[in-house]
Amino acid sequence: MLKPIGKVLALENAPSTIDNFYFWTASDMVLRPFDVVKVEHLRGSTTFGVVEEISHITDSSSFLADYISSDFGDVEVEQNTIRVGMNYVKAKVVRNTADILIPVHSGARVSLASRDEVEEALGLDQIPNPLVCGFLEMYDGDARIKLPVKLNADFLIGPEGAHLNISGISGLAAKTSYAMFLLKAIQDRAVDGDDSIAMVVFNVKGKDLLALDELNNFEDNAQRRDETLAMYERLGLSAKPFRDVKYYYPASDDRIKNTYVDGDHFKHQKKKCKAFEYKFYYELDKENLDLLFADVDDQTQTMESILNYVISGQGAFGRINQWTSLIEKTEAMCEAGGSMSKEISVLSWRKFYRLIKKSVDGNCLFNDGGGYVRLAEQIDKIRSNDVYVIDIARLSSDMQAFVFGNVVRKIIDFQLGDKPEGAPSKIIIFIDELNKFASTDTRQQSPILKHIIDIAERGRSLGIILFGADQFKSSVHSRVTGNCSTFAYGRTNSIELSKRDYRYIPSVYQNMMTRLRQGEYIIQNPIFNSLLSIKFPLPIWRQFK
Amino acid sequence: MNGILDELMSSTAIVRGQRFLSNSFCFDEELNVETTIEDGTKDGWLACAETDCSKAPRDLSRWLSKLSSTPSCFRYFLDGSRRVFKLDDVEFDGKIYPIAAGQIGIGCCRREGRELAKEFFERGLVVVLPNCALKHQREYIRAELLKDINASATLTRHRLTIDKVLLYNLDADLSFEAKAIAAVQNYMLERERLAVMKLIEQRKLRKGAYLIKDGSIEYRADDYHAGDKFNWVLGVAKTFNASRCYVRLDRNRLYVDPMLVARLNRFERTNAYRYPMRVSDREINFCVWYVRLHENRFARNAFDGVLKVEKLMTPSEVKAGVDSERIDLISAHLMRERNPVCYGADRRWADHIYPMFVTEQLAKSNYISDRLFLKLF
Repeated sequence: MLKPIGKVLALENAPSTIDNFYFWTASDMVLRPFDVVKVEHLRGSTTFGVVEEISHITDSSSFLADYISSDFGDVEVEQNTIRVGMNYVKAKVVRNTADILIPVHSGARVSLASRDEVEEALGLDQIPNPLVCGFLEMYDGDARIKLPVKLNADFLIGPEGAHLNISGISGLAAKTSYAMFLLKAIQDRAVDGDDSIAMVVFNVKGKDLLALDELNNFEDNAQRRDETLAMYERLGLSAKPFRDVKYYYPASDDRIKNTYVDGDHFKHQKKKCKAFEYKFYYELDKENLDLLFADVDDQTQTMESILNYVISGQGAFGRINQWTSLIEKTEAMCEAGGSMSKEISVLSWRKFYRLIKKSVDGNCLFNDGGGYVRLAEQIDKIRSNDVYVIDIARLSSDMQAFVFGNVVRKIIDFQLGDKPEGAPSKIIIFIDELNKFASTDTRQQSPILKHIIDIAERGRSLGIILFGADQFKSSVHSRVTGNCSTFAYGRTNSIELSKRDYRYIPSVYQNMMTRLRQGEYIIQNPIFNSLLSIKFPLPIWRQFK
Repeated sequence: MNGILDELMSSTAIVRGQRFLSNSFCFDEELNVETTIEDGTKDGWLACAETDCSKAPRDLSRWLSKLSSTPSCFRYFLDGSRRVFKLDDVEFDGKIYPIAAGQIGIGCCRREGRELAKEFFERGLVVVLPNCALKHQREYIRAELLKDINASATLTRHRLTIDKVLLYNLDADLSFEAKAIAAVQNYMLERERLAVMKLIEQRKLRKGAYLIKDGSIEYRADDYHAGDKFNWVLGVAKTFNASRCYVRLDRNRLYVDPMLVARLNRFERTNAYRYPMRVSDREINFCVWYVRLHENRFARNAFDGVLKVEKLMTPSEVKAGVDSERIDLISAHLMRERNPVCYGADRRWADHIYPMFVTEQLAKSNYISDRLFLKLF
């Protein structure tokens, strides 16, 4: 038993309950929310609690009493005696060693827990299929402990539970870094074990993810490098960046550059046969034309009619096999009397024409020249442990949606179809700014939203796992978040925290969320007895500044 | 009830009488009972007790600035507290008498740096009977009774013991209830005195480590003949009888002048005055003075914010007077205790010094709950 730090309080208006208890500690006892404490309970059992709120009180009965205690407002007055004060702590019961659920008793001694006891309290001691998701630090001074936090992989990547939602303020929350840390842990585990997993990662910001298989240079800070690599090893991870990474960049030409990647970097990757440029070919990709219209308001479903008309090759569209022809034929439909379909007005064709021309015309992603790859075909070639990085950072929102939808649709088809030997049983998709494609405001008919909801609801059985990141969890479609087994909360702003999505989180944890630093997360997963405050090390892969 | 009293009445022949099973309750603590000598005025005050009586009142603001970064000279704080309960009425020889019980708590805190810590706490439980309840009042009978009480199943179960059986006389000078309360009060004062002696004998009191005892230190005890032992003990009373403020000096005689105390400005003190008391046929002398800690404009009456300070005089001080500088110093240190205040928690906030308030809380918070205590009987 570690040295007691206080005793349980049970008052008429603040009783111990099955869920919570209060205890007092000395004013200078340093505790933090999420610290684990233990309490002696009946039959020699121990009840563990997680600190939720810490308050400090003195015997001052009112603000006025303190004002008067400074000679009625003299700020220079020094008091001979410090008021009697103490901290009282609200803790959430997480476990009793003998499953005794009755509330802990007044006067019971409270102490800090040992490392093993913390693991037992939080349910970290007997986790099957462990997958490291960070580490936690607890207590202060000599009592300080640091231990890896592992969750049951079955509850993150199936079959018991699936999908992850990471939320937090852009830049401050390091959402991408945390997602990649988890993917790195998953890849390490798969390489060393029997898991058959591949990953498809969308690069949506600058060059963030364009060097996942290169080691971080830590800005030439040797100490930081050594500490970080050591931390990866302490967490049971390899001190190496991702392996088997392939990069897919949108095709560019002299006129339009669709990617932020440096020419040299690209050449270097291409030389090593791990970088490719992708395009869309009319003949093979016309089925996905609807994705270009994902965000177009189409209450009368005329765009949908036109898309059916075009995709099914009706009229003049039956004989075309190039994007340029699509535009020409559509233009022809816009002329007075040009519409060959009685149901679709010329005005609708004109709208369709404007939209298709804006996206396709002059866009090198949609010219049919050779020397490029099709993403759909690349998905067919994906194998276990592969990491596909698909760069969409420099594309317009419409094009980002088109590429993302295209890949997602293909992955669903791939997982549903007959798979070649070596194909992964599970594919993890990571997309930042998920709310762009599946927000509460997204048009319900959006084909991309439908696919995302499909993955959220059926992905666990299909072997498609969605790791989504967004600034505001509350803005993501509830059928998506509702199906996530794991939530990671980074630094979040107060307005977001006032939304009903966060109502179940104790206010002190909510306040902590507004102060979390980069590298700190609050994790919620069904196997943990409580929310956990964790940290994760610096990225091990190359960072571009 | 099946408590201690029932067991006693049924199993021993020591206590006689018939119980009435009337209501048990806690006597009002504010019940004003004449229990001991107040203010020493019965023996009369004498002239100035300090070396310099030329200035009155004395403004100590200068001392306060001088002491601003000096540690306080007060280290120990002691307070006794009591709660008295009426347990029942019993009938003896056709008359009805109350039976009472009391809890007393003696709390002592020490200050380390600027923080208070518990030095000790002593609890005392007593039963108070009319003296006619016992067939004989000899001490050994009382000791037998106490033994019987403490052997009772109720007390054993709760791991408690009664410390003393007190008796009150049946004289008609006070009500029986007041006599019962006075008996407990006197027992508390005796325990306070023993606690003060304990600190003295442990050699904890010295220069820079004074003991402040809440209230008067006018114990009628032979200990006071022990010379300088009490040099570092002060009695500080927050309430006093203004009609006994003998502070105006006129041709070596003192007159009642409560207004002199009432008119004290903040950080002023009166002169110190001597008054003698006879204990075991020998004279001992106290000096007493008043200091104002707070202005009274926010207080309840003119005397709020004033403390009465008592100190036992050593033989040499009786001869030459207590050094005025020392009284100034003590007074200034007391004035520095004016903050923090217990405003809102105690209506006597202007008269309380905070360490004493906390010590009082220590004593009171360690009481057995009223319900449990009454249930014992």
